[in-house]
Amino acid sequence: MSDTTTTTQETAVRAVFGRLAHRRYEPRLHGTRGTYRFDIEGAGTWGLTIDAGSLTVSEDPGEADCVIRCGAADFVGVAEGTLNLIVAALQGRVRVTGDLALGVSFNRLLPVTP
Amino acid sequence: MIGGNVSVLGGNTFAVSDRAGNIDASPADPQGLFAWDTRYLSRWILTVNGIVPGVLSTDDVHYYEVQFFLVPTTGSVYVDADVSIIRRRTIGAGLCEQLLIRNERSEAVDLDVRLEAAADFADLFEVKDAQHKQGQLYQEVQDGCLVLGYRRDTFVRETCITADRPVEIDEKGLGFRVHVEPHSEWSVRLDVRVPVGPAMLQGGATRHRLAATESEKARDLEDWLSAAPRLGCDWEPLERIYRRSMVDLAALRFSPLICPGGALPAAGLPWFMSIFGRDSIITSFQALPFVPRLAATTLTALAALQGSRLDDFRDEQPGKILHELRYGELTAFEERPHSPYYGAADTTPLFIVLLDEMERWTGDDRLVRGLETEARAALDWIDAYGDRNGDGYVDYERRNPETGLENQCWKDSWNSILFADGSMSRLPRATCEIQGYTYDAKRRGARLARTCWGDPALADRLEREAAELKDRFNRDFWLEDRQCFALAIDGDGRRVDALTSNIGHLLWSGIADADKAAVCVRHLMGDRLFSGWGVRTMAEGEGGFNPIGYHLGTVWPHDNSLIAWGLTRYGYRAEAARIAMAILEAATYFEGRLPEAFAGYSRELTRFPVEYPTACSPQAWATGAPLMLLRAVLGLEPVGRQLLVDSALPQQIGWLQVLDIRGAWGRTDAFGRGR
Repeated sequence: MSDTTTTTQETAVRAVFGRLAHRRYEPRLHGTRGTYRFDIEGAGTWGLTIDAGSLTVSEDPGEADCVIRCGAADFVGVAEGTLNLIVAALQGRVRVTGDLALGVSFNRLLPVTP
Repeated sequence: MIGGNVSVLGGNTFAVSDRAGNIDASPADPQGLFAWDTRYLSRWILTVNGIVPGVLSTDDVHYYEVQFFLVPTTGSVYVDADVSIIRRRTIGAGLCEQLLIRNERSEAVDLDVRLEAAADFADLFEVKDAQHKQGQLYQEVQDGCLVLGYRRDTFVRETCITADRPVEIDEKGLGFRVHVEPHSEWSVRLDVRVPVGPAMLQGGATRHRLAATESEKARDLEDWLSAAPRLGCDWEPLERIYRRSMVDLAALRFSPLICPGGALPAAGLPWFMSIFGRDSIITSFQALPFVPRLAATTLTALAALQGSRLDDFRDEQPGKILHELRYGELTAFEERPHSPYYGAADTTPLFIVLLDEMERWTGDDRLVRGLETEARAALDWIDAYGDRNGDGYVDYERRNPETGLENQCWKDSWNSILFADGSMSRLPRATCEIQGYTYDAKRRGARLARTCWGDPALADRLEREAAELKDRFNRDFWLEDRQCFALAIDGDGRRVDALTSNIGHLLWSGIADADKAAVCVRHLMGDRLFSGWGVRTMAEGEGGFNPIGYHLGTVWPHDNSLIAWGLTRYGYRAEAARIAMAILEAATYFEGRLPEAFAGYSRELTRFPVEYPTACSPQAWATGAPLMLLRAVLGLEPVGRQLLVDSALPQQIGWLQVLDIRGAWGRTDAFGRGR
């Protein structure tokens, strides 16, 4: 993987979290509370907190209820809706640990499009 | 036992073997150790001195434990009865096998004992096909453990086999040089471990928690049974039927990955050990008076997996409740749509029906409040997506023509929705019972909106819509010439006029006008629908009728249990009791375990119910049927924070009592006496 690709993917990941932060509220998660940590290869660690549908994005978060680990391309694929999250988890491309119900709830934020 | 095979299971892990305990999978005989819809062991063969021992007997008393009694064979017709072998198998986090060899001779024996092991990691959907795996199988010996594995890119599944005494392990199995002194014994415990819970998603992890011991399993079953209400009755078979249902419900418990510690009823053993929206909801509904906690897990799991996008491959829409979730390789690589698949038009309204019914029974509104967002989304689905052709009725037509389901109602075989002349209806199809469920969902949604969500405006709207739907339905679906409700309205706007059991569900839902309900009751109890053993799925005399057609004339116990409850609801108590007794009497011919369906031959003709050959037994909603029938004959109905009891027993039953029924009232007893 060239440095240019890595940079592009890192930018794409950053853009996804930028959009999530911008969205601020997702009505379909009104009944949901919890914290995610995303460990994304080559694109850092990100946090997302859901509090009755309100979304807060952070960089370098600590412990979380649900941890999602994956490559940057897969993360962007899930976020943009080209890769199904449950399929990705069953394939082992995306590792979801901790509160799996919360992990599945991430689907309700998808696709994260501009 | 399934055919000549023996099954043993726990959660969604199960082993199917021959009567000697050996597993030798082939497309014709899909044996194996299965978990997560994947075959973790396709070969598990015990040999003694290179020869497969013969079977004396098999004892499968518990669903989670089986014992095989074997003797070495020498190749002649005589068995060597001085040496015996007992294989005791339990299921926990895999398969645990205790192998005991007894030597009754007066001299020592030396035996070469070997277990051959292999795994093909077939997806449950492909066990009846020749295997063409896209990934690589591998076998490794690591630290006293035989690892059987499969890798396809990042998709990794592994089985780990260990023994608790010195063993020679190679890539094809485990061997023991056994020396047994005179009149003594030798034993070994073998653990075949498969991933437990979320570990499955971590692929290669092989160091899992040890299998639950059989004493834990036994204690768990004891706790389950002792927590259930106690039943007494002067008609002796009922206690056995009741106990059978409760034990089978215990076996059917399935803990989904997203609800650790919770259990919901899977659809059937062993092949349908997964979440099925419709089956899990109906079974939880049937079981509410007896095991109320199944409903909470069912609702929580289905809510978590509620559809949120438009996805044709999965037939997914925002707010839709799933049809089926699977975990195998074909699902993982999108050769099948079960991740999850949403191809069901009735699960979403039924989700609301169960949510409301659970609150009425338990008096616990926390879940109703906690799932408000999902329940509202489900109610929105009905109006936004439920009606594909805009005729005002919830209908279905698959958006995935390759691997989607043709019929997305409970009668889900391809040819179930027929005209009276036997011809096929066109898609999209709006079957009548789905309109009933929709009506019921709107009425119940209104109650929840008013009492739990503080939204009287929504309640008013839903009640208005329900009333309008009922009006329209009784006009549009009623066949004046045949004096019954149409089975469906099809894609050409034609009323599908076959007489079927579906009309009984209209009583359960309450959508039928009282005068039309009275006519339906005469149909349901008439000779064309009522076989003497229950209500047939399709009336005798219809063009498509076939007493052994899956949904074209067979009798389904769960169908009958819902019809009996519907009759009770409309005040037809004697008719409900008659159906209840017919189904309960049928159960006595199956050792208390009702099959999914039996043939629709008339009772005078066969004198016993002829079982319909299906792959799964027990089936969840057949298991729940006696529970629903008990509710119907005792007339159990929660009203406010009280349990109303108003019994109307079948003639054959003099008295019936159910003690310690838990609910919003604490605990209470229900008594019924014959009239």
